[in-house]
Amino acid sequence: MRRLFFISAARDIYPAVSKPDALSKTLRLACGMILMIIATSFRTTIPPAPNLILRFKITLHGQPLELHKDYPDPFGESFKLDIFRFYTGKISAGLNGAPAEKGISASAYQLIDFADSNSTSVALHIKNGDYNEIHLRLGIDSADQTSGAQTGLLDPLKGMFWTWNSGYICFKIEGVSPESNEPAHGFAYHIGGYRSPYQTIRTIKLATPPGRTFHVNKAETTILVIPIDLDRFFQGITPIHIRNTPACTTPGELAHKLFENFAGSFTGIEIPDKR
Amino acid sequence: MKAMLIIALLASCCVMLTHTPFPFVIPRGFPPPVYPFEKNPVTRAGFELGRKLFYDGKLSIDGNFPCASCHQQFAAFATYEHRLSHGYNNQFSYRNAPALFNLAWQKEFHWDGGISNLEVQPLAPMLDPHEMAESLGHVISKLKQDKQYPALFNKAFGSPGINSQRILRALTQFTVSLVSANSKYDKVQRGEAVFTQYEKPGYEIFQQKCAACHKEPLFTDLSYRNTGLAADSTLKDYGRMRITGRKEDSLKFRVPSLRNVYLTFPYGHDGRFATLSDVLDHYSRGVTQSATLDTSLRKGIPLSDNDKFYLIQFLGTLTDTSFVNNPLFKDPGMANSNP
Ligand code: HEC
Ligand code: HEC
Repeated sequence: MRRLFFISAARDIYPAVSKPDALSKTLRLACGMILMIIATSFRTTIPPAPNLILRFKITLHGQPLELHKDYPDPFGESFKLDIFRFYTGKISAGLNGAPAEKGISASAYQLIDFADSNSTSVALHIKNGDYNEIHLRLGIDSADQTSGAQTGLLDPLKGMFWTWNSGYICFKIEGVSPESNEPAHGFAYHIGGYRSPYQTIRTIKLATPPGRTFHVNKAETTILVIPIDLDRFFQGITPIHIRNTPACTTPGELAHKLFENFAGSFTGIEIPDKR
Repeated sequence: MKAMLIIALLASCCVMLTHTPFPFVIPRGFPPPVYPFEKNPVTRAGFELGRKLFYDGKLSIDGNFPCASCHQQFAAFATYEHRLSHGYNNQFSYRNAPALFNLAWQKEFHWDGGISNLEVQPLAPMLDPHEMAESLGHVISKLKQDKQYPALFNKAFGSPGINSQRILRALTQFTVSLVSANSKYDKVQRGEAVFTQYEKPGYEIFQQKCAACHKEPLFTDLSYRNTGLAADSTLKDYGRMRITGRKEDSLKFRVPSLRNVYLTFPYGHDGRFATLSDVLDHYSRGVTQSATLDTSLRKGIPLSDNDKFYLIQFLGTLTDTSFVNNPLFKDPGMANSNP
């Protein structure tokens, strides 16, 4: 309402200008734009305080995995991870498959980067209630893949953008393994791609342990843990041996398979015990 | 309320000064452009910033490889007389540098269409270790430390700050404004000139044998085709397949525009043809058969020596001297000495 009022006010300022020459047109346009910004800033409400926090963690053989440390993978190949990053977004909570409640978060995408502990938790606001599911989307919407230079978490400066085949890397792992024949024994999985049929975007539905729900209300913040099980990544639909597949850095069939494995490594929701 | 309106008015005046729109004129007979101008409206200040960036070595690691080192105005912004362009540390680019004009009508860029938006195109040469070999963070910090750039970004975008989006959008404001549509051919279309007795039959042959792919008025239909160029054994370039991963796209490259073709030699995605006669000889008797060869080229394109002569005469009418001499597109550092 208020916005409309302001725009019409802006129009009324110049009733005398009959010939819309370029100058007055620009002036009116700019003026209208400013007024609109002011008007909208009046209307915007501060986003509701978060009441749900999702903490992502990487696990291997049932234990938390840390970057820069050596581990054996499920096939006995020794490896260490240096980079583990992925995009997620569109997070919602559900109960027994009923329509999910959309979570409100600060930005449309989250970039979870295990080298930056501030980024591995996502704070959301969700309608009060009991739930036993979290739905989240892995990957980047195809419209955002092609819409040009972006800022924030989609800034190409984040190192998640392919330059010669433009598009976002939605999931990036890099590390070192004596099994790899690549230079310096590195291995790298840069997974992404939005062209049919190898799109890497998927909404996954995660469940609480059987019979358990989590409660969200205004008074306190609920914390959930979302494990990413690397055993399942390596031993997914397409088993990945670092020795045979030390690198995948382009979109396509292999990237799509690795993406399937990645999506499959989200096992569910852990509800930490209350202190 | 009144006070607020006055503030808004003052603010909008300031905005207007820096945001003078830069006219993008759609040439007569051209389709509507596809670049989404509404998200990155071209302004005089933005265009000037983009032009300065385009000619500035700071965008490359050692200062020697501005965009303009490979895209030269006198060659319609292709690399003059180079099969492959030169980049950092005595390295070659992977492909022949295409001419830059009429980019506002293109949805995809590069010979294989791997770039999905003009705004992100500069990332490819800037970060390619064979070309400008830079990192985005480093370019941003160099520009921030510069004496002139902070003020120019402020002027172009209405607030202080230099980030990747602003660099890319400013470069795009320059490249998207490179419009070439004032060749003799265009003048003939507008009724301002007539073809010679050689150009006219050349145009007719062109319409019959070439225009299906090199479609007027852009002189490309922007499709990807295999025209029977066998892959070079060192470059191993399979074109569009590199992007889509589909076998059907093997050896397909985007149909290049033929505007300004006299200035953009050597020709082909790897610059293998030195002259236009070489290209025509390829069409008439050099086509290599393969599974993805364009069906219209199975038997090549029969061309007599006369046909070739007339065709080359016609292609000469596509040179747009007002474009390659346009002072607006020149190196702003040289602009003063070259009024
Ligand atoms: C080292 C030489 C070199 C430099 C420096 C360079 N380019 Fe290019 N440019 C090329 C080559 C080669 C291609 C073709 C790439 C391909 O098809 O794979 C190209 C392609 C392009 C295209 C796509 C044209 C089309 O029709 O698809 C644009 C736009 C472009 N360059 C703009 C720029 C800008 C802006 C810069 C500076 C940020 C720049 N170039 C720097 C060599 C260069
Ligand atoms: C089946 C579609 C098709 C037809 C028909 C066709 N071309 Fe092409 N042309 C292309 C493609 C695709 C390329 C790029 C080939 C490459 O480098 O791989 C090209 C490249 C060229 C080039 C090199 C341009 C440059 O900047 O590198 C010239 C010149 C040319 N064609 C002229 C002609 C002429 C003249 C005719 C008619 C006798 C013709 N073409 C017919 C598709 C076509």
